[in-house]
Amino acid sequence: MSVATLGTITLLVLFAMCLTTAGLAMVGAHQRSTRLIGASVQGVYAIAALAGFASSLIIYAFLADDFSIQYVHHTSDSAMPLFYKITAFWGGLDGSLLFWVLLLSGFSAMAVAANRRRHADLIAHVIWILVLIDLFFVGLLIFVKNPFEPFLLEPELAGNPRGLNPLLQNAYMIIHPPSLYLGYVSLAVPYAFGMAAVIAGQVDAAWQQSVRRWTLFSWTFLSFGLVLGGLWAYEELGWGGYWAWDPVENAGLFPWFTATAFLHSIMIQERRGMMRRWNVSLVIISFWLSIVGTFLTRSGVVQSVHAFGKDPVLAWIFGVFLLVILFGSFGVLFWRWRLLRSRAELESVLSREFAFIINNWLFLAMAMFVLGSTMWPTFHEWLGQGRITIRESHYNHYMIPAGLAALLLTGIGPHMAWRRSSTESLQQQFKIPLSVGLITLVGVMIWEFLRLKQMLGGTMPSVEQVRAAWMDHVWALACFSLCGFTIATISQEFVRGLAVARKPAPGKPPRSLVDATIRLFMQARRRYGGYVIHLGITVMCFGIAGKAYGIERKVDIAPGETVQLGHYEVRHDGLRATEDWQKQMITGEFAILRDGELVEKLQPARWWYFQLPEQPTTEVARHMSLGEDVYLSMMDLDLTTGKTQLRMFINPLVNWVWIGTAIMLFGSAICIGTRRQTQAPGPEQGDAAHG
Amino acid sequence: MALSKTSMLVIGGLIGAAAVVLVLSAPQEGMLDYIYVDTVVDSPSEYTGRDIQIHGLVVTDSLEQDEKTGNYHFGVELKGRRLAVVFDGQLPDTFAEGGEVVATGRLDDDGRVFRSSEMSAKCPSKYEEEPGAPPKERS
Repeated sequence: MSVATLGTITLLVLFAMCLTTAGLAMVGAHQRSTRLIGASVQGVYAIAALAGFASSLIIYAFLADDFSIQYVHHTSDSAMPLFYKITAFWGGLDGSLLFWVLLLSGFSAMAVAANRRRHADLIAHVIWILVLIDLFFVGLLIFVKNPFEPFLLEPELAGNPRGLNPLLQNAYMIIHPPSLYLGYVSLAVPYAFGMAAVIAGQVDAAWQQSVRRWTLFSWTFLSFGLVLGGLWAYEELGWGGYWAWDPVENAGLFPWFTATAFLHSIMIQERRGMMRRWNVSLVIISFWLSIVGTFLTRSGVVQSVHAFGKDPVLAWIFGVFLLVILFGSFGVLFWRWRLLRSRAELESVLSREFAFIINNWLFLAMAMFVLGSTMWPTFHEWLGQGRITIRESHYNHYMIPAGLAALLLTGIGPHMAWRRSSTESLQQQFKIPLSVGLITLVGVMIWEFLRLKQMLGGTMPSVEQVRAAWMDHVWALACFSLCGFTIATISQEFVRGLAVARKPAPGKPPRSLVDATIRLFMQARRRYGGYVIHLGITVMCFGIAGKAYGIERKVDIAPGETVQLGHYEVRHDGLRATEDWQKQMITGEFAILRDGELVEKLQPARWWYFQLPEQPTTEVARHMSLGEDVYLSMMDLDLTTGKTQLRMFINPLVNWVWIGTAIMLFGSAICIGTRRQTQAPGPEQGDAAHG
Repeated sequence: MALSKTSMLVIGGLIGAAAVVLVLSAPQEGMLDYIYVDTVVDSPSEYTGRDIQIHGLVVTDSLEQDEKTGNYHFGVELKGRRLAVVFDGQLPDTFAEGGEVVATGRLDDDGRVFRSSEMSAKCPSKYEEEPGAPPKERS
């Protein structure tokens, strides 16, 4: 039997297994039959095993160069390195849908295995919800996008295998899509638990913790995936930036925003029993947006020249699925509306609850704004209003102030008391951070003045010039100041916490700083892990704000010539041509000099893949430092004269974006690692934990 | 004690005011009409005086570079309608005569010349793109 046939049969069995399992779980839940529910649990494991088998089959087909399968033919060729053959599994539409099924069924099995005893009364509902989602994707695989579809005629007629787009043959591309998928797909688990709790009428503490941890897990992978996408764009596309509000990248942001909102508001529910309807809504919306994201990236609705041109069938199926989820979920929510009423009321504006509510509105507004702006051109055209393009300036105009407001809340929120903060305690809390924020602002303004003076060659700038410079960078100045404020509030918390943790037990010497730090994290992981995440985000904001001081130059430069780039000089030392079995490479030799001294030799390149010579790739070269990147990318070149069209950038602080991400991931790991708590969280554990 | 109505109104008002300020100060070039060359040529008066994006095919053998200014001059056409473009940036490397371009800029008042400083050229890719992989040429 061929791999194609075996694969298709596996998918059919998988489909039947999903139907059976969903049926067993539904009937089991209705009759409260432990036997049926037990059988459906086994069904979930079987689904995961079948999905794993189908995935290994397609990977095998890639490794064996089985070009009788259309999908393999489209996304691979025999010359491709082994590693990219494996990752070609999710390199195209059909395979990535199978990858979805693999992840979803894997997560379902994990979630069910971990919770079948703890939430025995919910698990049947969880199972049928997850399996129905699985069923949808398996159905798509069978009826619309079968990755095992063989060529009906002789495969030779289809020409040579096409290979993976060279742009995607990049290490980041191996982990960027899976990381985003992990984030998207795992959002199905909190959704299933949330809906199961509402259906079963058990909306209390039981489900909160599972849901919170899964959401944090999704959030972490979404964050990681989004940043990796940025890194890939930065290193591979050669336009000097990492984020351009591209619709497909935006798609990963929608659920990220709502998941962020949820991770905060769930704490209000844990502490005060408030906002239960809101939290269920956020879980629904986050999952819904993850499907919207999949839909946008998979159907070509926003990217294609003509709306719904690329894959109208898929677009319609997804559209219906989205409506079913939206109306179905909110229908259930309204059915249980009274059960979910709030147990407490908001008491004061000066309370953590209120700070979190503002945070929630802000993040929801950002999600809706980015979603609306991404979809707007499509709607505009549907409504017969003609086509429009939305540019970066549109997004930046709204998102920069919104992001700064979020950064401000990062500094304020965690230091407000629950219920009500007294004015005295607020003064006490914010005295130092506010001063730090102000000092930072003044410091950066002075620095800006000195910079201007230096740029003018040492002459004193006029008042207008200084004011213009400040106004040009007003958002960056605000951002630096807020970073100072936020880092000060976080540091203050750590200093206070450590002071307490160092206090010796009676009759013993004070604990060492390392010991105290470990104790601090062990005692209140969520709280301090949350602070670490906040610190990471703040550091990222610091890096992003550096963009305001970036320099970009495009020059035509011949060998031997030197051009100025900010305080650097760039010298062209010639071109060299090489070749390997996959591509031809033209590499430039450039020297980066500062005050005549060599800083680093950079070798940007252009690669022409033999299978796709009309689309050369740009290989960027960077001189990296904590202060800035010098970033070179070759646009066009003349091999006979060596004359090169060079794009040069100075990107200040850009590496802090990646450093901040690493800090943030570390914080998430601390939070996710929180051990299960058997009783209700104590005042310490339940206190903060942000993310 | 629940939150007083006044404080809710004040906070709601502040948020609302901030939103209004943002909307009113929105940059005009944030959202651009994206128009096919034939439409522009047929009714130029509708598109003068503001930034727009035009989409068409580069007329073969029309590309010239002005020696003095370094500007590029070429024609774009669609459905037999033709428009002259003056471009003062650097041509993206996917730019080709006969190929598709999307140029951002402004139409002269008489509607005959389109002045642009930002352009992307499309090369019809037969490959499927990954999420997050817009091989855009930015210029």
